[in-house]
Amino acid sequence: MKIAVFGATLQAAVMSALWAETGHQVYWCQGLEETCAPGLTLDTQLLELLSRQKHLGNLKETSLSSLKEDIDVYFFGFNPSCFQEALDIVQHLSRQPIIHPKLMINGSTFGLKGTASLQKILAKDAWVYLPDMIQEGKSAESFTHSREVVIGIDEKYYDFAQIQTRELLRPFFPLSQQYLFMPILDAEFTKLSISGMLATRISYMNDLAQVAEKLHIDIENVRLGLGADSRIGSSYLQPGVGFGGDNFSRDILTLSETMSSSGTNSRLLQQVWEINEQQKEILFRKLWNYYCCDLQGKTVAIWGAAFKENTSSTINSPVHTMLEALWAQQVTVKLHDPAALPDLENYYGKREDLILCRNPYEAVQDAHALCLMTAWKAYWSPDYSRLKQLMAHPMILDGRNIYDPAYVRAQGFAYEGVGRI
Amino acid sequence: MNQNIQQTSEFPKNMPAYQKLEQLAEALKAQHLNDLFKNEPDRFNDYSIHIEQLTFDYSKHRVNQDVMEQLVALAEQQKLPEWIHALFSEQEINYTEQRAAMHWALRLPENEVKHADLAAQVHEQLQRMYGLVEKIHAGQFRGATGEVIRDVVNIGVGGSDLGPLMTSYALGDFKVQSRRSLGVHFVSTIDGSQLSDLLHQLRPETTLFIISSKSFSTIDTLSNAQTARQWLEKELGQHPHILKSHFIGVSTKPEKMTEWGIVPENQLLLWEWVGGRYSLWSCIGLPIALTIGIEGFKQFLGGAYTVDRHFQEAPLHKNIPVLMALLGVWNSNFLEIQTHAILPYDGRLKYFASYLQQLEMESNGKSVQRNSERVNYNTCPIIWGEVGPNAQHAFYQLLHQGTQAVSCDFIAPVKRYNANQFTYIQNAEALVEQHHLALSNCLAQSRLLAFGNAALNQEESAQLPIYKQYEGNQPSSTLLLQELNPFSLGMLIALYEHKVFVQSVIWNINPFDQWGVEKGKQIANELLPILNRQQENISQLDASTQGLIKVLLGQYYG
Repeated sequence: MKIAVFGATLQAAVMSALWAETGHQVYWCQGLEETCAPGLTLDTQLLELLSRQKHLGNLKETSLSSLKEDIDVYFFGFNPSCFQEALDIVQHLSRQPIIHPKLMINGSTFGLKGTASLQKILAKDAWVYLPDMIQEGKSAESFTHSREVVIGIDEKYYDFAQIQTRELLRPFFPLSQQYLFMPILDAEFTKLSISGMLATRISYMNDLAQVAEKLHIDIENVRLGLGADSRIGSSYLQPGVGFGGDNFSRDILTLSETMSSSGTNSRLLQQVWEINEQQKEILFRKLWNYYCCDLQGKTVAIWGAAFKENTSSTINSPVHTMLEALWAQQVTVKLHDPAALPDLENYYGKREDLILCRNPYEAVQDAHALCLMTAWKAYWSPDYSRLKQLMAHPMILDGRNIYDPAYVRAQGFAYEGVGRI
Repeated sequence: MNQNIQQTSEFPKNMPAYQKLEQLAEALKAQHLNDLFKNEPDRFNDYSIHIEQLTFDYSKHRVNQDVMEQLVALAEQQKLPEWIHALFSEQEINYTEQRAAMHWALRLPENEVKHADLAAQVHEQLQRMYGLVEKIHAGQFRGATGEVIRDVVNIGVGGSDLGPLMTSYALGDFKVQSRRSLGVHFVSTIDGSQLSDLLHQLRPETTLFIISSKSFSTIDTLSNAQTARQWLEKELGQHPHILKSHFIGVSTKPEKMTEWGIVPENQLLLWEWVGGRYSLWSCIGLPIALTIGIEGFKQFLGGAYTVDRHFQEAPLHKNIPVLMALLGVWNSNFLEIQTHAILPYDGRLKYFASYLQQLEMESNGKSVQRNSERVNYNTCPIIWGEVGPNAQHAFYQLLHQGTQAVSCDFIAPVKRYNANQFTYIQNAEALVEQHHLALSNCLAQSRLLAFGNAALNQEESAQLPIYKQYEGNQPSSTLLLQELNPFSLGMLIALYEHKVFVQSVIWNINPFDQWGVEKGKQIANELLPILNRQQENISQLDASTQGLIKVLLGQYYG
């Protein structure tokens, strides 16, 4: 089939690559405006996939105006902030001589009834909502490896839409029981609810970690025990310095706003958000305590700025909260990240109290503490004697609980994790 | 020239103007406000002044041009212009405490040339205060555990409480949105009732206390501070850095703050030349700045500075604080009206009357002249009041039909709910209507008080039984602010400050001391050991106090 993909989200990239790879002809039209196409952070696997398909000619990057009318499927994958652009494109299509109905797939998270507002303009087409469940870092896999796929379908042209959708996704979801068809609004709410549930698990663990610390309980044991229960499972139970990222955070906020404006006095998600915001500066609080409320003039090393490993994005990353807190106490920060330094440099510009380091050991030179904020693989087994030699004071704050407290302490370091004893 | 102005002050009754005014009063007493308005139909134009965002209407006072002329003459004979000059200098006009009274310096602009040293001194402390405000608003002021401060409790009493409380409350609509929501609370009472109420709602980890005491020895404040400290230490342990992270001090006494445990960077200073009841413009105003933000606080100071200029520059007969004072003198000394009610038609000015009670009564509630002679005339009247619309359901009955003569200040903002503030925006439309309701009540009441039955329709009033009739003839001023904002409130407060000063000049008393409140504190200190059972012998006390002490100690079962 000929598929037009609009938008510059990770989902748009993944779908373009996967559809091209499975034999479709894909025309990827990233967007009209610069602001809606910020530099995408693509993982290596996806980048390779994309360039191979481009090379083979299955994937063509194009512009809206040069798009032909013989497209079978239109896919919309926009950032939530680019709703207006999506509207413009839908409006443009409504003026084209297209034979209706065509399959229109919305993947953008425009909140509840977001798909419906696009559908209003192209009412003669078959509309489908494919929730964006792509995870940064291992983007293509996160789609193809999912067990089931949630699809919202509008009543109008239901059969047509269902058949077309199954055909498009058949290479990834061969079994009919892998499709969860439901009304679009339900699917939109499901999408937000999934993010909400994951966030709740994280904040729940972080809340427990704080208590565990006070009661002298090792949260790591608790985490493993929880994960062993088949009703719970082990994902999203890792305590740490909090979740970040663009889409995930936005989902929580959208859902939380939806819930609080529904008049049901639902406050759970606000708490989840609040706990996460507090968690972002937990390492600061530990430092503050360790140094008896006086950090003025100290130097702190930070390892990791990306909101999670294998991405260069620092959107809503705990590192920002941490930097602000440290700077407010006149602390100089020396920071290393394998991928996110350009992002940070862009964001903060040059300042005397932020030294970006190309080498992790350069960052710890003369530092009064080392804060680990992102669990990049490269940080898992540092050279402790070198650290000890370089640092002004041997202290490690482990914001992702990647170290073994006993081992680190045995190397002569003060160690603080999140809920570790 | 002014070094001896205090000795040249004279007994006001000997002034020629004083005697003329007494004669005029005889004639005026026979006239009703209705007559005055008949004689001078254009009274509003002739008896009102506008400056900046403020209108002062005094046409509903029982005065005519002769009276106003003589009142101004009285002020001149009392050397008011020289006194104003002395106030705005570094002279020690508070002679009983050998201090200057330079609260005006607190609102000098940063680049002021005439008093450059003072301005520099003042702005140094303001900048330090702004730094703290910024840190708190940014969510970067940390408690001992590293958590962000979410609640600030101002512990102070008198001037360290009433001014900041009144102003913060009045400017609630201008609350700035801080990074995390911030609660500002006030604690003053010596018995700890407000504090105990607060402590069980707050978390020690996220609570910051401001200990605000000019002398840093006020027992009311220190006892509350001590309780707060114990509350914190119980939860967080006893470390010096607990005090550092949870207490800010505002005082003239850095050494006492240090001794108490407040670290130097959390010490904000004021000066002996600021009276407590004039101190809200200094760092004592920290809770105000925390509420309305740094820009708001600058506006607030700017409003007061505007009035400082007006007070120094406007001719006496066009000078609002001078007129406010002279009308007060006229009412109190010549028309024998011994109480003055403050009636704001704006719920935000809820604490304005109690603030003015301190400002006026602590300043001018004196009976000894600067030459140490007793006065034989009235000085400060009883100041009282309440938010107007609420008071209408309480004491207005007495104003309209009682036997007391009362003068009133009606205060109202012209516009309200017009600034799209997040605090009220959602209900602005309905609220604007409520404001109009308040304004119409304000006008109705001042009319009825002034004109009595004549304010009603003629036919109706002719048939009224006597108990439904209104005498009228109660004088009042009306102060209209374009809107109640930091600037206009700054103006309003400064007007009253200067009014008080002008009256003190007429009455020849020192408005800047408060010896009448000192002795009680001392006696309380003597009685405390008895109630704590550290001292047994009470035979030196009077019989009443002895009896009461026995009841308090449970030794009396009569």
